[in-house]
Amino acid sequence: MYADTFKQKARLKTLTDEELILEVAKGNNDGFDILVDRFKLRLFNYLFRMVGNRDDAEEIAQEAFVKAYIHADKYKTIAKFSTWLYTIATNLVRNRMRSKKRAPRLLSLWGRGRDGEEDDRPIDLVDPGRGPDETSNDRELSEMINQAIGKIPEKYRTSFVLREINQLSYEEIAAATGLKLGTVRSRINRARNYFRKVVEPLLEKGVDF
Amino acid sequence: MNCRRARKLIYDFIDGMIADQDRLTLEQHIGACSSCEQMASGLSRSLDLLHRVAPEELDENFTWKVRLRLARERNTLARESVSHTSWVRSWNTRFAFSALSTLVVVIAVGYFSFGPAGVSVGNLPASGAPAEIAAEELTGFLESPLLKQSAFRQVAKPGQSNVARLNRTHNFGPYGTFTPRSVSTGAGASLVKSDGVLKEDTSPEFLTAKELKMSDEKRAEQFARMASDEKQAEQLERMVSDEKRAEQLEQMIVDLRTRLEACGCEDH
Repeated sequence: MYADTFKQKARLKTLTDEELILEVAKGNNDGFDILVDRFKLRLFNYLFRMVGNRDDAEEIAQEAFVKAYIHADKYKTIAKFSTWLYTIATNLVRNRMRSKKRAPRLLSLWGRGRDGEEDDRPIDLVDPGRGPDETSNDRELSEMINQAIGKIPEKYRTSFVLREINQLSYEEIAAATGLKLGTVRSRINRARNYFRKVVEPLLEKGVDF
Repeated sequence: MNCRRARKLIYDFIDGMIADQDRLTLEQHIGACSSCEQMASGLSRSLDLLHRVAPEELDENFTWKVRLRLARERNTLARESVSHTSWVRSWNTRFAFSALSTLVVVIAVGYFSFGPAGVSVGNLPASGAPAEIAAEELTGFLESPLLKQSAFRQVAKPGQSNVARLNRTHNFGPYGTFTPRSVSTGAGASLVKSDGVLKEDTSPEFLTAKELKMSDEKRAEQFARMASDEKQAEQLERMVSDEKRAEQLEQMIVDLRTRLEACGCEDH
């Protein structure tokens, strides 16, 4: 019995993402496990850079996978599975942002700054007592990057993160966000400039990461 | 080349989508324009920094958390679908529940009135005033899960000693004997004996016949939840990864071997 199960699982692992989600739609839960394992890290990192904290990112990632499972029968093979998953996740982030804006007493997802608005305040170094040229810890660098990305307005941030962190093509980003290709390019470039302006002062201080 | 065109080409260069000819033109422009040079340099260095950050690590139990969340979500959906189906609201269902309850009461009353072993309301062993079991308050433990939560109750008569009633054991034939755990005062409260002292019975495990009769929909929802929980449990079991199952099996084999070695039975 277990030999058959192992064979089946081995067969599933050879399937593409699109074939796996179709298996899930037929009720094959093993296919879903494989998809989660394949995409969990990528999805989590996208969401982490979008919302700025691990807990929210993990929760939204879980929710995205659950929605993908429940609506597996609605997946159409005209789009890549990854694009579909990012679409679900992006919509979840948008909904969160909107609900946070409607409840201004709540802290923003970033904990500082205001969502959707440019924040020109300089980045706080994790340890102000140490000069930026002494910052070499990966954790501190990650935190700095997070703060810098947080300063990018939300409508530019999505495309920027999908491009620079998740390495999606412009076409995939357009499909995931529902934007035109030209709009995606424009937003990514604007975001790059925001990011540059935030990080450049650190670089000019002689930071060598 | 003007700066506007140059900036567009800088982005193309970053994306690796610049034509060779444009690249040469851009390099010439950047060499002559400090503003564009600063922009190109800044973009290149900042994005290079971004790309050097290691990906964040994820909790190793993430997949399990997704499964649990999925099981909860499906449970919720199952509950919602049951409460909204016409099956719950159908007259056939209500009739079935009412008919079953009535049947049980009829059987119980008929048995006690005409059944063997002389067990009837009038022949119960007396200790003080005879206890009267009101038919409409009587339900029995049967195999049906529907009535598993029901319990025997006795309706206290004015003047009767509740302590005496709580000490009495009743013989209900094939349903076994029963010593009342609580006594209903008939005023919505019930009393239970604890260390010889009567106090209010706040135990949630007993349902009055009134509670049994009411809320067919709640009962249906409860069964749907029970069925759904069992299905959920089965499905979760199936979703356990084969590797884990294999590990467990391996561990079981190791344990078995250890036990066999300990008893010297390995060669048998």
